Amino acid sequence: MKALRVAAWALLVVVCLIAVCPDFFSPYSPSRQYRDLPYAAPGRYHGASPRWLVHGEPYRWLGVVPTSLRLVAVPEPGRIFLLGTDEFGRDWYSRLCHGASVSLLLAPAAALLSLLFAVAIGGWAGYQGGWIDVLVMRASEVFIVLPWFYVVVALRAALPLTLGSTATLFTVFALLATLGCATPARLFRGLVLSLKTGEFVIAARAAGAGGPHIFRCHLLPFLLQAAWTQFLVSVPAYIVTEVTLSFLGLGVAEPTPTWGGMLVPLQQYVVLTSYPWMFAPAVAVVVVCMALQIVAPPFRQSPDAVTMPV
Amino acid sequence: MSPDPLLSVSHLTTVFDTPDGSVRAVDDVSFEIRAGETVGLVGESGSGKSVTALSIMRLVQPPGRIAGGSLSFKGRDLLTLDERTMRTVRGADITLIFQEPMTALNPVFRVGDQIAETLRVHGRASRREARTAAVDLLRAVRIPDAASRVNDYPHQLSGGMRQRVLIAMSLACQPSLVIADEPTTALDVTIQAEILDLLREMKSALHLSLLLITHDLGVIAETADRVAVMYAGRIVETGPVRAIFREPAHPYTRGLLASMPGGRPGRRLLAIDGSVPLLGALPPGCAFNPRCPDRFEPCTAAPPPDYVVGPERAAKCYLHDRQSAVRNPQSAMGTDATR
Repeated sequence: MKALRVAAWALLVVVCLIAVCPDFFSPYSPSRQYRDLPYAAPGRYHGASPRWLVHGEPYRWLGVVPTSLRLVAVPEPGRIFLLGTDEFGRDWYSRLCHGASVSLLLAPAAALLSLLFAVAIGGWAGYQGGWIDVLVMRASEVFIVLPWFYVVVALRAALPLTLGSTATLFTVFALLATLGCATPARLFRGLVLSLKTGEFVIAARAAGAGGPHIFRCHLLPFLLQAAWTQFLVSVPAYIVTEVTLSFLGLGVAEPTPTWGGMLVPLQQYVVLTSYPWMFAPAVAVVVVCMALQIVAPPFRQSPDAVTMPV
Repeated sequence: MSPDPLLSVSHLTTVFDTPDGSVRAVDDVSFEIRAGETVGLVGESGSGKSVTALSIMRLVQPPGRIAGGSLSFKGRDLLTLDERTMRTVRGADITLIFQEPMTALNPVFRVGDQIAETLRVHGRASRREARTAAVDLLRAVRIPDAASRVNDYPHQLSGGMRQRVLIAMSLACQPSLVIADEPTTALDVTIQAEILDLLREMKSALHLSLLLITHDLGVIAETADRVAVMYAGRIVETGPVRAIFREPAHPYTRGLLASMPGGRPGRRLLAIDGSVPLLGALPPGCAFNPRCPDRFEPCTAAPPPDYVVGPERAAKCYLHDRQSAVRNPQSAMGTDATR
């Protein structure tokens, strides 16, 4: 079990590195088309001999630093397609690397945003109690019963068409994060409810501490523990959300690659049956989500976890 | 009576609003604590001792609320202070020591930081000063090797040491009143004696007043100057410790003293018949009447008022109405204390 968690962590670190500098890890630009090689199977073409750490196609690291250093490249006219190509002859592996940066940036950002809201709202409601608590919890129920998918479709329809696809996607995810904060908010509210009647909180009040101080020093450390687990659990959910939206054409538009967008060709029967390497993004999503589930620390299940959620 | 008590609690009433109506956990409680005095508050579990303590600190949690009375502390009524001013009183002028030192300390902070926190929230010290003060306080409550113990987490300390830490926290801002809510209940008997010694010593060294809440009459006998006996949210008897132990005036106090172990060996321990009534369903009249061996007609009619039964002594029992009526036909003392 320990080895599995180490392996999962290692995989996530590698994927994160790829997401941060996809150009370095990929031999080609994601939009470079080799029209002579559509749906080419994985392998080397035109007598390519790969070289490590060479200067290939130039790119800007993080969109700023101009460089051309790549981990693997082949001199012209050779081609190397680790995961084959799509119908336009674009290197599927390079696109997968670049897709990781969108998918793996958006999901943690959305999860972080939603947890931020959740800790603030849930913690506040739980600490204040009374009618504020009732109001916030009833409002969260409204958020929970809203079918998020239809909300997103409606939002897409409502947003002006002049808005760029990236801007739209960020709006959509900000909305999803807001809607998604309802469930963890209830978790944090419950935690605060059980903690605030704890004697050490009353003791802190008896020592003259005010509300903000108690929240920061005596409640937040416990909430952060739960928030970390919640974060690792909700990131896969947001990855899958991005995949779903992009798969249905509601996400980032071509030519920017995302894992969901890269699954769109699979809607064609011929691709589904004849070009198995096109499944690569699906495999990537499944593997990354599983790795996240594996590294998420379980809540302590010993009986004392009830009274002392340390 | 002394002219200026440090804390004077008068007609304090704290109710809990439950779906079945409001329950008076503290009902018309009056007592006072003078400077440098130790007052013991005794009673069984659920008699309202802890709620009285929390009410004095104004820390009663909803659905509980203070429904009436006044808490005059150093000439100010604590019940009329706004929350911000009240915070400057809590932990600085009046401090509270809890029963269970494990749960009263935050498990994720070092004990030194928790002591320093009290000083910091009252703006009494800078971060560095607070740390030195924490070591000094730990030394003062006789924790060995205080300089390294400040870096310990609560779970690394024994129960007695944790209670010493709580005492150190409560003394950090040099309060004038310390409320100790069952400070020894969670401890071993030998440790109990040490903690009581420490409390007594600190009390005389720092000229504190101490409100000692306990269900242990032995602790009261050793430590308190005066005692108030609580039953079902009311104080049924008050007076100097010696006088009450020698000659209890209320049947409940008599029953409590009779049920203390330590009589002749081999004799059966006496117990008060029946059990404590639920606060939501108190019997009419005197709350103790169903269990009282001396019950007679007026007991079930109305709750008895305070009767003066000796110098600085009062008891809520109609028995004394009969006696004082015989001795003193006017019986002015009794009616004067009635609400």
